[in-house]
Amino acid sequence: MTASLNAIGLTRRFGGLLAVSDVSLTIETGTLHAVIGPNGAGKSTLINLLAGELPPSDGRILLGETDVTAWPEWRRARIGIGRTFQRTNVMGNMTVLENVRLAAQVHATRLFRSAARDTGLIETARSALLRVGLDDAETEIAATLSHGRLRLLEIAIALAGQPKVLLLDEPLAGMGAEESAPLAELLRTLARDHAVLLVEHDMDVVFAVADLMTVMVDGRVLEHGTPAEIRASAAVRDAYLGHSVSA
Amino acid sequence: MTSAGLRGNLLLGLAALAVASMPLWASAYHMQLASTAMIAAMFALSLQLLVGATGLVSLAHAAFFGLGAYAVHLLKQAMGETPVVFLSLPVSVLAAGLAAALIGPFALRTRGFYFLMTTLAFGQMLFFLFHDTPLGGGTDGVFIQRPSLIWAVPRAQRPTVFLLLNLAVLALTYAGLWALMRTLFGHALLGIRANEHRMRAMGHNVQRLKLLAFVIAGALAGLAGHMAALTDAFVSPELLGWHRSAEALLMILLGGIGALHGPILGAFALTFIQEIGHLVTERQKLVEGAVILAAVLLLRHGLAGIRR
Repeated sequence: MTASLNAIGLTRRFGGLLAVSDVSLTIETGTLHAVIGPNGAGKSTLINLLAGELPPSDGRILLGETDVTAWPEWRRARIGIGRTFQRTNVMGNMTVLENVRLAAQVHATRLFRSAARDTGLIETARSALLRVGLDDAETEIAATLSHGRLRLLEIAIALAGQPKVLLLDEPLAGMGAEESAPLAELLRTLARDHAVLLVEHDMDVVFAVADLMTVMVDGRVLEHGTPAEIRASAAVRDAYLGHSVSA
Repeated sequence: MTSAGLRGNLLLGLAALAVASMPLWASAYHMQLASTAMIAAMFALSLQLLVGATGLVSLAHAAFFGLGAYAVHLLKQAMGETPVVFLSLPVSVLAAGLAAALIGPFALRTRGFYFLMTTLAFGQMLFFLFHDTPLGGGTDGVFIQRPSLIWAVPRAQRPTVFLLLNLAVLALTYAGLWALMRTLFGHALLGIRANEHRMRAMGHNVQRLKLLAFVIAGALAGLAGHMAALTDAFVSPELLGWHRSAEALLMILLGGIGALHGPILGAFALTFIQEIGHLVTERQKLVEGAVILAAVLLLRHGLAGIRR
């Protein structure tokens, strides 16, 4: 089943500042849609609006046919909008498996069932860990993981909620070159069965993995297109790529 | 927050056996003291579901304890005759749980310091309801008639019977919470304590989970209050006051925030400290304060953390 996440005229004001202004975009299953732009362009705010952490000042958000604009964050996550955070945001005092299982259990119908006996949940959690390559770290305390592996745990947590849409906020932030190559490969495979929105500063990776791109500047959409079109765009070159690329 | 494993629970079981054997070797006075400690332990345990498990520090908790106690008195007045314990106990639990279900949605809109202050306000509202209106029977409290047990208990047997009853209710409360912390619900509460923000992003209805915890904890506080009324045959507005909540928080701190059984250790320790302080000096609060300060500074994980 293909699902699509639609943002229509999405706008967010912080006092007098227009952080996101009239942004419309569509993310579809099977495509990796990258959003790039300089710092302060409103990329993270856009993710927060789509995930429901922030209410929009204006505009609408549709998942398939469902208007989720007024839905709280947790309800959007349940219907299939998963996300990761720019700054690692996990349960540091719990094991890797516990982190992922907590994400898997949002779909559990029986709240007062013994957690240890719910093998279905543990399987869901394990398959999420396997997919990102953290299956060897199940019993480790999350806070003791290396930075690179914490970034993977972020993604595993999002996957365990069995989302249709994945909003990834700079998954490669702070990663070394040897860590980012396998992660780029993972992003490609995730896009096969998810609608992926990727916010990322690493331009090499973005141009290598993206099917579609949106360039944001000052909260507005400057350009939509394929990586080739974006690379060829004079407007993008002037506004962004030609200048120093902020990482 | 961790729950005790097999060895920890065996040790707790041994301690329970020691308490159960008190009628063979202890005086009536010391059995009453043990009952007081066990009621405090039930109350602090119920608060641990909020503090240690969910990360909610509430000052309204004593109000639910007091409601549970007053429910015994109010039930008698409403019925015109002494209720049996099988009626008064569920009424206490329900009354406290209902109050928590009414207060919870408002209090839980706030977090951290503001939650502390909001629960203080709600708790004090209930305190003054019993302190300043004729509802509860007066500022100084009232002697009440105990709910009737299955058989008539002669005065001389009371300390023994109440000791065993309180031990049974404490054991059930602990076992219930121990099992609860092993369910998906219990795990979700620990998740909220660890990272509420991420729990919400995962898709957990954090507000609902917190409210459930608040109501269950309130109902269990009502159960403890019922046992207090039954044991002491006396209720007063002081039972609802915020300082009683603070005392339970102190028991949790002393026993260990990080362990489910911490409050039991804390309740017994504090009762013991108060008793010793009472014996050696007239300035017992000063001794209490010093001992607690030393214990908290020296034991990072409370009494429950000593063996680690």
